[in-house]
Amino acid sequence: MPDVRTMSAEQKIGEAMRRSIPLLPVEARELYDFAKTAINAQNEADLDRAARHFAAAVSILGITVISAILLRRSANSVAARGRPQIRRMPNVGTPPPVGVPPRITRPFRLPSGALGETDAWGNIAVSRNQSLTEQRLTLYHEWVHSILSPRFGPLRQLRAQLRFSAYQRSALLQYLEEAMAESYAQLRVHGMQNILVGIRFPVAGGYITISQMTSEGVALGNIILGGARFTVYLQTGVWQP
Amino acid sequence: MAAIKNISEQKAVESAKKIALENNWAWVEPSESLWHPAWRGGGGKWEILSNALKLGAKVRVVIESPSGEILEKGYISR
Repeated sequence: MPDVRTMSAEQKIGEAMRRSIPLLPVEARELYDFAKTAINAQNEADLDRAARHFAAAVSILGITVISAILLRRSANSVAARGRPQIRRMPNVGTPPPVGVPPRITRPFRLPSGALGETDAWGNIAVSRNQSLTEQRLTLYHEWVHSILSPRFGPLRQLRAQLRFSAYQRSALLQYLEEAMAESYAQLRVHGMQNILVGIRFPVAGGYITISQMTSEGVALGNIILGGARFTVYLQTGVWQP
Repeated sequence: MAAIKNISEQKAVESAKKIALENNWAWVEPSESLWHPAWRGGGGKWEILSNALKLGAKVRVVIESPSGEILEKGYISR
């Protein structure tokens, strides 16, 4: 034992803490014994002994106190995330005058080569710079988006904002709207043979991922046919008919 | 204390545009950037969506911050 006068500040604090251990209440000593035994464990028996100390500490102090002690650093990280922010409503612009129906425009080219698009009020634009079949597919696809847009009635701007906000926040809603639009388009142009193209359309290009869908729920819905119930869901892997 | 955004919004949008160009995807302005802080702190993810005011021709890129790794990228043509 070195002379106290020659010890560093850290050594003095450490020694004082070591001497305080026998004076600690039994519950704190269990936690200390758990940490000491686990860190210095040399074999299975030592780990079992550490586990017994931890179990005793949990039964005395309760899991809430143990979590607060052991997860202190995690709690700091969570606090560092800052206050939750409210995401503002999407900017959908000013609604067109009442009584003006949605328009369909056919420009030769859309900005940056897009095939087709629909705005928040149901106005459709389809590029003519694509094959006739693709133009038909795009028109039918955009028509479904247009039908789902708030085209008349009260609170039109709020309804458009809510719709865009829901579309941006939920992968499931994105999937349902896009798959429905493309399935309808494929059905009208190619018939039943391409219906799977429509169902796979949103995930085929990676726009929506299966993991996003999984986090919101994999089951898309039920189909009841001839008294039997089929649950429709998506999963990764090779399709085996 | 606010969460640390090591990758700025502008840089994330530039990365998303670059990915769109590399994949020959239509990039339509304006874009929307959404910041998702990690639950355990110390970073988060940028989610960039192009053509924010309309449906169709949308690019979606998810970039991890601070690593800058592209976690997800996808496109819908109409």
